[in-house]
Amino acid sequence: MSVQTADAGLDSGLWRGRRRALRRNLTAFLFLLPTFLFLAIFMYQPTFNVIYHTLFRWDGFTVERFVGFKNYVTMVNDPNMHIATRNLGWFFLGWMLQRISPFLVAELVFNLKRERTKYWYRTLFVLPMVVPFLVTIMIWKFIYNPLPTIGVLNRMLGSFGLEEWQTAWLSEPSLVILALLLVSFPWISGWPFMIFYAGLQQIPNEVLDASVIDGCNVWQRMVRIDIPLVVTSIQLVAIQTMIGIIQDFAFVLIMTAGGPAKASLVPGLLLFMAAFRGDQMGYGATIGVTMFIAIFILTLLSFRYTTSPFTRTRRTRET
Amino acid sequence: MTEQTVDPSFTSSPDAAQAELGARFIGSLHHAVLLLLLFLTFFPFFIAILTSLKSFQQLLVNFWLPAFPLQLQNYVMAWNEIYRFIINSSLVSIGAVTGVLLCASLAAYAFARIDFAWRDAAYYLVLSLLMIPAVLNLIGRYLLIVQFGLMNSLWGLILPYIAGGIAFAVFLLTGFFSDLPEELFEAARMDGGTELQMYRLIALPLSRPIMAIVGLLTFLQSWGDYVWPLLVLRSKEKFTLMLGLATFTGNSQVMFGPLMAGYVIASIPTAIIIILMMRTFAGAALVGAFK
Repeated sequence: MSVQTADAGLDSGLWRGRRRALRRNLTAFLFLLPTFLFLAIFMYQPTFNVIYHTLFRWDGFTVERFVGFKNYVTMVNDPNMHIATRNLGWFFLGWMLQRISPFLVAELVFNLKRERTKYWYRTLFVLPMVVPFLVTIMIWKFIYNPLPTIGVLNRMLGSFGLEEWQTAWLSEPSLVILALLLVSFPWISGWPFMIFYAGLQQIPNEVLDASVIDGCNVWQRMVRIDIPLVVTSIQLVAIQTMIGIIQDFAFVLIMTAGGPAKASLVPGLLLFMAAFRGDQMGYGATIGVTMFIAIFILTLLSFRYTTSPFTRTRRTRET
Repeated sequence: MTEQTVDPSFTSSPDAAQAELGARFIGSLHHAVLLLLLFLTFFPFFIAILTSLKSFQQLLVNFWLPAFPLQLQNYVMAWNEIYRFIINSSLVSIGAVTGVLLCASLAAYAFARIDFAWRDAAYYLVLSLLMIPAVLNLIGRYLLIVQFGLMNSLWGLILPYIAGGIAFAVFLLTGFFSDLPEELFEAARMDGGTELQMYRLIALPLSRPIMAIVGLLTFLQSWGDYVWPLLVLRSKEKFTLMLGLATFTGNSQVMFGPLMAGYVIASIPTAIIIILMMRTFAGAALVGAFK
């Protein structure tokens, strides 16, 4: 009798546990439902749809013919793609330099003596971030305006008596990439500066004091202490920049639309043109997937070949 | 002998003065470099504001300095041209922020506080989306919007923006929700509280700062986007601010004053948002979340 009730109790306890688990799962399911609805419709479905259709000649709607890997072959042999990749190489170098260079400015500010001055420089340097990116671009378009009386740069050259240097900066094939890279010079205002500065602030004071006692000069301290200790910040900025550079084309689209004559074309813009201006959705998708693979591999590599600050300091201590 | 060589370098006043002079020189050079960099950083915006207050004639005659009388009607003109775009952008951004906050906070609550089957798998399914570059989805989403008949509609912006913002928001909020002390939830559970009540009455009120950050980030992202509105919107009365500003340029070759005034006006909302963000320590919190 008692055994039976104990058994029944155990049984119902098990049941109750299961029912509770079921209810938990159901609750969680309901909590997750809106998120996964959005993600399924607007993230997973389009992604797989696009990857799948790289194997098709496809205008997105009616024309849909299986062509195997022909799109990829076309892409590899596409002269536009060659130009775009070469341009991207230059942009890559330039923008990487742009995003890393605020580290030097962060050092300059960080090495000031008074906290109050530091605060003001820091705030002022990040202040232009309040201006939307597109507005900044538009202002720079005004700076590069080809008219000698209107373009800020041309006008400036004029007032220095350098009229022969005045030119249409964004219409000169040999100058256009350089001009685009110089946009928002001196490139300080932005989140890389904030991240670098926060990284410097996290260096323990004892380390900095010890370096002063040991007679480090500023340069030695920067190379031997600051850079190794904020290497994760630098790495973070570099990876983010890399991902951004490979896929972003809004900037070039607004400034030059890839011109003059493809001199500033980038792969992202080629995707845009192929898919939305040329009805070659399948080909555009192919470029997109290739960019995704490139980003993925580069991200993995950069994680593989950069060390965390801790392993590095440990290694130096052992030697 | 040694005394003679050591002494002067330490005590003789001309050398000490020289050393101090050197330090001062380096110090002022330090400031000079920083001030030059500051000047270069602000120069374009300075020129833009100056130009926004000039007529075309004044611009031609007096390029570098303020010209009087100030042409305040430039701002009126610009406002009349772009206020519609500002309304559209606000609708889109508010819609996106509401959607992201609602969906992501619910999902993050489930990930952080409910122990359900396949939790890790589901979480990674969401996080993996952070790896997918936006360009890859451009084509697929465009086709969806066409199929759903949302072309030239603000919903065609809002819905994809919500989807695009959710993954990162879930990532940030899950981290925050799981750091909340378990005792709070245990006590509520004892009193027979449901998960929905705990979400609404415990998790949400405690996470106001991080919700603010997620909201502001989503706002800025949707506000500043150019490419997607360019694809979706067709008629001018539906344009968002960024798209409107770009076309505003195209129409007016010589109206640099109103143009720049438009840019200044367009910067005000984001300025307010970012200053709010700094006030809520978002900068520091964000850097923390990235690391």
